Amino acid sequence: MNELHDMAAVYVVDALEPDELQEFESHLSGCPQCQQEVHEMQEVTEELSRAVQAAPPPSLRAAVMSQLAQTAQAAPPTEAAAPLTEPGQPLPTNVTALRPRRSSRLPYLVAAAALLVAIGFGGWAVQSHRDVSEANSHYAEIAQLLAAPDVRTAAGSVAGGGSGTVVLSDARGRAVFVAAGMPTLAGGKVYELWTVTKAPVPAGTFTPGAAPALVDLPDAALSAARILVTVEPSGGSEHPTSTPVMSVALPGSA
Amino acid sequence: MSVMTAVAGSQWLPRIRARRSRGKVESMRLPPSANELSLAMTRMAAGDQDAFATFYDATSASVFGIILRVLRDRAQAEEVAQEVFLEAWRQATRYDSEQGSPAAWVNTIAHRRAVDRVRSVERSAQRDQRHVEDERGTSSPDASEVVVARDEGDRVRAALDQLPEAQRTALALAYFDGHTQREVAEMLNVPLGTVKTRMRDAMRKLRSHLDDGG
Repeated sequence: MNELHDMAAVYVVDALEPDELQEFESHLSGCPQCQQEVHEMQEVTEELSRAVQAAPPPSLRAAVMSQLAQTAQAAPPTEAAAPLTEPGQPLPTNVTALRPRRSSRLPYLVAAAALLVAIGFGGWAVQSHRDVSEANSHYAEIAQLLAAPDVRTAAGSVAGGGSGTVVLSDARGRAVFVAAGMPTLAGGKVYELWTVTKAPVPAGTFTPGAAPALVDLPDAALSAARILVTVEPSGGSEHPTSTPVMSVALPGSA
Repeated sequence: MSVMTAVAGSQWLPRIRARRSRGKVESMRLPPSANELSLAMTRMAAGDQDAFATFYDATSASVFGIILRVLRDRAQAEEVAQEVFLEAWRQATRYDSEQGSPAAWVNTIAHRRAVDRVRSVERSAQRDQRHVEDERGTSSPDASEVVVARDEGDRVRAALDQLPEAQRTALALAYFDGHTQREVAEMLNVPLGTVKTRMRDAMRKLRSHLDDGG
């Protein structure tokens, strides 16, 4: 154990071997003393970096700034989820940050193509419409939505596999969420969607199946900053009770 | 290889001094106070791009400096620095001030990315070759690579100066050159346990020295 405590210095200079790194990080999550030492030593390594400061070229700043608008921010740990995380624990890692998106329409077209393939060949597990016969009309509906001049799409993924795509259009006044390949849930639990402007507001639930799940989102989605997905007890919750498994930042309307 | 690299690791101080004495010292706009940086961080978490610009301006010389120091390749350093800052933007929402200052937070991301890059992309043989070339001055810094004179930089250089040579070398090989502790042990031809002890003692001494305002 003593030896593990002594690894903090080697850890903060990133000099542990991969197996040692794993060992130390699992120790670290349960050792407030080491956490304290690591945090203090990270202030020291930051000072070490000041000794080798070098100004980056101005082009770097411009390149980074120009990508911010297309770079989705990770979901903050929600207040409801906070009690699940012990103080000092590393932040939950099950929220997958989205890759930076380019501003061209190419991603939209790729997403659109993927959706049409899913619709055409995958069939639907329709959640928000009681009447399954309505499923047949979805193809046309989604195609129309994707063809809207102001269509916006955004995608997110889940650490355990699976993805979700939000498609919305102000002109059509419609927003949908399509989930595919998400892990199945035990114990009657469901995935719940949330629209977030300030606080998360319930936006429907779904259970994953072999076919992609389609959920009609409330109008609030059109003005929301992001869509979150959490795992909730059967029937859904008023407020999130777990850390989001997916966070999809919505691009602003063009 | 081990001798050249060990020398490279222990000679970073004189090289920096030489560079500064060439009159390339520029005064930087006043860095924001710790409070201003924390505030910028909070606004960044809310998606504020101007706050990100403040954060970038305050931290980019250190972030780029350490990445460049570890990678020793400007093109790669720029690429990694860009990744680091976009990661900082993405993860700003998860930053927890309990776990350290914003500057330390982004520096941790930067250093880890830099060593990951160096270990995954480069074979150590190539890296050692570049060390040798670097020491011969074949990769001279271009005009934009200006070592910024700041009190903090002087402070940490003074603190490093006070470390015993053996500790400073072990620390520099790991932190500035991106070697693992096992590599450091091989280069210095000392047992792994000795390297661990030297790094631990070096970090603790630096911490107390810097805490004392030395």
